[in-house]
Amino acid sequence: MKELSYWNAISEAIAEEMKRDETVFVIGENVQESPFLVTKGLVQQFGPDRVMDAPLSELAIAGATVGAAMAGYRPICDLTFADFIYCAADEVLMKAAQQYFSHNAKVNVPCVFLGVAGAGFGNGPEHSRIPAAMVMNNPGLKLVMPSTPYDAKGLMKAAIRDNNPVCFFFHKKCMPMKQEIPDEEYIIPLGVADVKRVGSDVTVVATSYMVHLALEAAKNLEDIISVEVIDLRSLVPLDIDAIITSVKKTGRVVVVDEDTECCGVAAEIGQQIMERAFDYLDAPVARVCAANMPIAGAAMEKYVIPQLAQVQNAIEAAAGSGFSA
Amino acid sequence: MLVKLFIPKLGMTMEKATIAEWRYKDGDTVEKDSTVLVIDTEKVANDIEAPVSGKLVINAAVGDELPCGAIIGYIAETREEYEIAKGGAGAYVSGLQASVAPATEDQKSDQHVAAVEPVLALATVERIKISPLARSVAKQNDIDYAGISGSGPGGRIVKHDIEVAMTRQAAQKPAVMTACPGSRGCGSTSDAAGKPVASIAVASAGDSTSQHEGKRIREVRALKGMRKAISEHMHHSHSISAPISVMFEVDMTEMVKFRNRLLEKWQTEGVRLTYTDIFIMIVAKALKKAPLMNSSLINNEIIIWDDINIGIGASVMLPDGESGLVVPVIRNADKLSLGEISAARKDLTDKARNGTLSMDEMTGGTFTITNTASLSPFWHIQTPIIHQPQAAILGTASIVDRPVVKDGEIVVRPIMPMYLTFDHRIVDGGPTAVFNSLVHGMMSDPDLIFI
Repeated sequence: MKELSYWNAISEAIAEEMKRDETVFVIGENVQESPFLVTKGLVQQFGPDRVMDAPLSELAIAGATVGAAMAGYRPICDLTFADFIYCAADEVLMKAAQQYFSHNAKVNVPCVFLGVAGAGFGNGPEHSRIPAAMVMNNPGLKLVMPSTPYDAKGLMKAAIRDNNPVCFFFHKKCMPMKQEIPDEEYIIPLGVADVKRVGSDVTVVATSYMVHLALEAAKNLEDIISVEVIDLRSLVPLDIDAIITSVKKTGRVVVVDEDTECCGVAAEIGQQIMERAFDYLDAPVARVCAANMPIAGAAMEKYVIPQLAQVQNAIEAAAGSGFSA
Repeated sequence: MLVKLFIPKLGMTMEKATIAEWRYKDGDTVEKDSTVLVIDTEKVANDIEAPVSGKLVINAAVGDELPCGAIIGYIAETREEYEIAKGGAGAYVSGLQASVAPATEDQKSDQHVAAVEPVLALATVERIKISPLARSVAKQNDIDYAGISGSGPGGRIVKHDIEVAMTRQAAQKPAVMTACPGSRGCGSTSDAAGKPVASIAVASAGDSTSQHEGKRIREVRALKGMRKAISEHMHHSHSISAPISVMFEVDMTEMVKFRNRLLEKWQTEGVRLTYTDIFIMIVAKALKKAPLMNSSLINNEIIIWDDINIGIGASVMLPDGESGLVVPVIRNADKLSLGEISAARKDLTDKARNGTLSMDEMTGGTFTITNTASLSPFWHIQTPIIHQPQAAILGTASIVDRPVVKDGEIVVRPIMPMYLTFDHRIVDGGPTAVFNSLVHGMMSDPDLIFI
């Protein structure tokens, strides 16, 4: 066992996979220096042919990624900020996501689109997004959003080995988090949620940094309400069974999502809960999401992004008046 | 022509009826205007008459509870139409497209004719807020959640509320009839899990030796019809309101003289002025000055009514010999003269006695008066139950000679006890005292009625 930080867990997963499989390589802007650390040190180990710095064009980088993947490689495309997926949209959404279907299942596009996501540092509207709903809304892409170092490592290995394009969004706020990581190899399959806290009164469904808000809220309320926190870990595939199992137990659910509320992740999950567990609901499905606003910068950011108090209030409201200190 | 028979909408709030009796058999020939069947609504039985002569097709059985507008049969004027109507759903639906004619205008004008087109429900049915989980738990456990108050957001009934109701119901349920040795009428009515599987009624009602909890049963009656309606209403009223009763007495010396003077001067054929008539007038006037007493709490809103519609509690004898209770309503009582009130009261109480009140004559009340003088002609008081969704009910009792203190002397005066039950959710003691003072004032000094 060794203690690794979140970013280090990701870079270790990439290194292990590069060692294991020669077709795995990294391409992106300044991946050799790696300002967000997740590819730091790889160039020293694997050389510039497999850790390629690319010009400042996300579209070109993503295009090279898709081409290489179709040619039999397993590229990891570092978009730096997840927001920049919009620059690379045609290659990611139209090409990577759809080639398999266009070519009658004869062509796989095994690649990872890596992006640092989320708010928390007041970086403003173009560097704070977590474009989860947009990815979910484009069939053919998988989406992984880990909340802990352990999950991040196991999920990255699964993402690299997956034969489909996988968007892997890691959260800025999780970067310094540390956790014991086993020495032996492990892989966390995509589409398997993890119950991060067991409870009986209200289910909170979250991903990425929102899991930590949910856990904090659950802790603050633990004398009054028993909160179960489900970390989905990946949104595509979505472990709806885990959600439904929990909802059938608690009857109340709050979906927390850092992406914009309108047509968002929580809306989709809420609808699926309604379709599959309507008769088990004791309260309306509640959601806490980013406001329907561009993400404000600096001190204004907290008025857009979900905050602890909102999560806590939503849990209390779902629980109803039967619960009070 | 093939004419539909369906459950008519006989009152604004009527939603359903039960088929009480078919006077003819399927295939019988019925004459126009003869009573084909009798339906039971919540409060009254209604005869349904044949709009035309013809052969009867019956599509609903006695005991069926059906919504207004539901088709319960047909009257076929020709053999061919009869065959179409008898030919099962598929056959007659297609056949009817061509041959069913709407009722004529004069049929529509008569409420008791079967082919009245159903009037759309104008009264909104109060939707019960209940979570899907609570609803399914209630269904599984056969819990009627209509009267349960919800503890969820916005008063929604949640699972916890159903569980509380289940615990309460379990506590109220009669003990399972297993341990009553030495009685042949006593059988086990519980299944292996100890869950009661049948009501007391199965303990053979006709068997005089049947027992329940060691008490011998004389008779078991099903809770149905008007008894059921009264039972449900009374329980509903107590379960949703916060009733509080105030009792007081009125010196009726002047009122007795007042009524006697009026009786001497005013005689209309068939109508004799009663104290109740005068009380209705007094209450209508008092309600105008204390409008909160003429209100309803509906959906978290206190609605103060502009109309003053006074219901009169009337005890009735039902055809089966049992007593019942109906509350006919005198609409806009504040705008009627004493003579008009008296005539309306007489008309309604006669109809109540004959069982011919229409639904509309029993709905729409905003306040109720119950006069128990004729039931108990001695000094008494009681705590009436509010007629929902009203704010209060006023009771008046018998006028009896009682000793009272007047100017330091004990004297004998005609005294009438009165009692008011009001809903403390809506109104507090202050406005109630104002109302009671107004009523007390006019009762003890009838001259005040005209001020």
